[in-house]
Amino acid sequence: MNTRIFKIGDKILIVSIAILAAVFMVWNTVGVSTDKKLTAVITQNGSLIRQINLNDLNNPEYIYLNEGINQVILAEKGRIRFIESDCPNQTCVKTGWLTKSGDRAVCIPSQVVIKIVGDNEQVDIFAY
Amino acid sequence: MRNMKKLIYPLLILSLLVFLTGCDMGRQKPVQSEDFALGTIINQQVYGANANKASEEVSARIKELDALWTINSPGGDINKLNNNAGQGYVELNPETVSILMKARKISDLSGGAAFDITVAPLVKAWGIGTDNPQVPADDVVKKLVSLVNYQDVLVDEATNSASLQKTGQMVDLGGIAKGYIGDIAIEIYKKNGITSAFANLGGNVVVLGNKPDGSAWKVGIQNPRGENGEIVGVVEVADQAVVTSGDYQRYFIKDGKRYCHIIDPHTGYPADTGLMSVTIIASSSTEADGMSKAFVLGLEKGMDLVKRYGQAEAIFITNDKKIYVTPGLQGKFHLEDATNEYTYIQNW
Repeated sequence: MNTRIFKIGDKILIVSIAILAAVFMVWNTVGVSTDKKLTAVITQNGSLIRQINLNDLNNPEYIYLNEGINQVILAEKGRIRFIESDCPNQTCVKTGWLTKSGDRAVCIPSQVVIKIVGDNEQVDIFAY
Repeated sequence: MRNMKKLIYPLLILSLLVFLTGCDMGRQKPVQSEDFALGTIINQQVYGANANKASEEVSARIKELDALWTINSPGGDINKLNNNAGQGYVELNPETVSILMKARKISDLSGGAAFDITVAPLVKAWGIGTDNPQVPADDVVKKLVSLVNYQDVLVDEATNSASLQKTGQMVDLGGIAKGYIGDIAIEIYKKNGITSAFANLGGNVVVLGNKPDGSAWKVGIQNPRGENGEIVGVVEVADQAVVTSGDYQRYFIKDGKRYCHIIDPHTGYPADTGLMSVTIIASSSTEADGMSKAFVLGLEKGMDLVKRYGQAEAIFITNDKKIYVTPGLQGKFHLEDATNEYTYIQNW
């Protein structure tokens, strides 16, 4: 008797809604972690200087900062770093390449921060 | 039967809508801010209606206290206290009096063996935190160690004043100020009706409540030999502070020997007791900061101190890359070591 409840059209509709729901569910859970969109955000003293989509970058880009301390940032496809800085301890330059969501390079003297942001960060906060 | 069909379609459509919108439900946009103070970077993430006001209030307060407490800040309280060492009481801001009293309480727990704010003359002699760290001569260290004694910081709460007993003595709040300010940040959030927020004061983390979705905050613990931001594990916390003292910050290498920035108050030399880092998880951020100096004592004695204190959990990482975790963190600490070099030792 169960088979008589729904006509063929009903079944098609139910199955297609179920498939659609399943696709969205998979897209929502897996899609986030496979999404490799890398956005670098450069701030100075908390104000936004530049935002760069590192995936779309086909040619290397140099960003020159000269407020207070002279610094050079190099952005390439999929990565970014400080390459030169006039600051005393060079912590920012020594940090090296930032390649994944959550990576960060900080220059305390110039108050410049490069950060890679994304939704797939492993942790909410770094203790160090 | 027809009624059932009528019921099923709206239900299917409803469930589809839930899937479509589900991932964005309960996701509020936080107020994020970044400040430079206390010689480091300070990040806040605050949720709720008053988030903007609360985070601005915290930023302003941090800057005030920074000026008051930075050792080289002219006109600041610590500068004033140090300049008048051996010359009687000086009047200070009530907040300075309060932090000095807190510092004493924490020092008492170890009898000054782990944490002592009067270690400042040695910090200066070693050039810690400057561009020119150096190894002072043995007799210089010996002479300066005799000046280290937290019990010589005399506080008179009634008159909001304090004094250092001997000439040459100095106080440095570097080992407690970030922790103390973390507690102040939480108070300010609460006063503004905030129930979910965190502040990261140069690696000293303090969280209020859970995340807006109700889950615990995931705090990454730095791999002491990894790059900045490379973690060895994650600890899940709510309404707690997570503070690490490690040998990987501001260290220097001289003649092949590595010197860390944490001075043993009893020897006058940088701590070298087989640990790479100590992380304390406690409800008081001030005490977590002070207790993290159990680093100086090494694994056994350090863990003893944490247990004696009784209000903290801890993660000790030794030079041989073993991670010792207190029983209270079971199920809350997870090893996330991409290098596969560390061994997790539970219930220590």
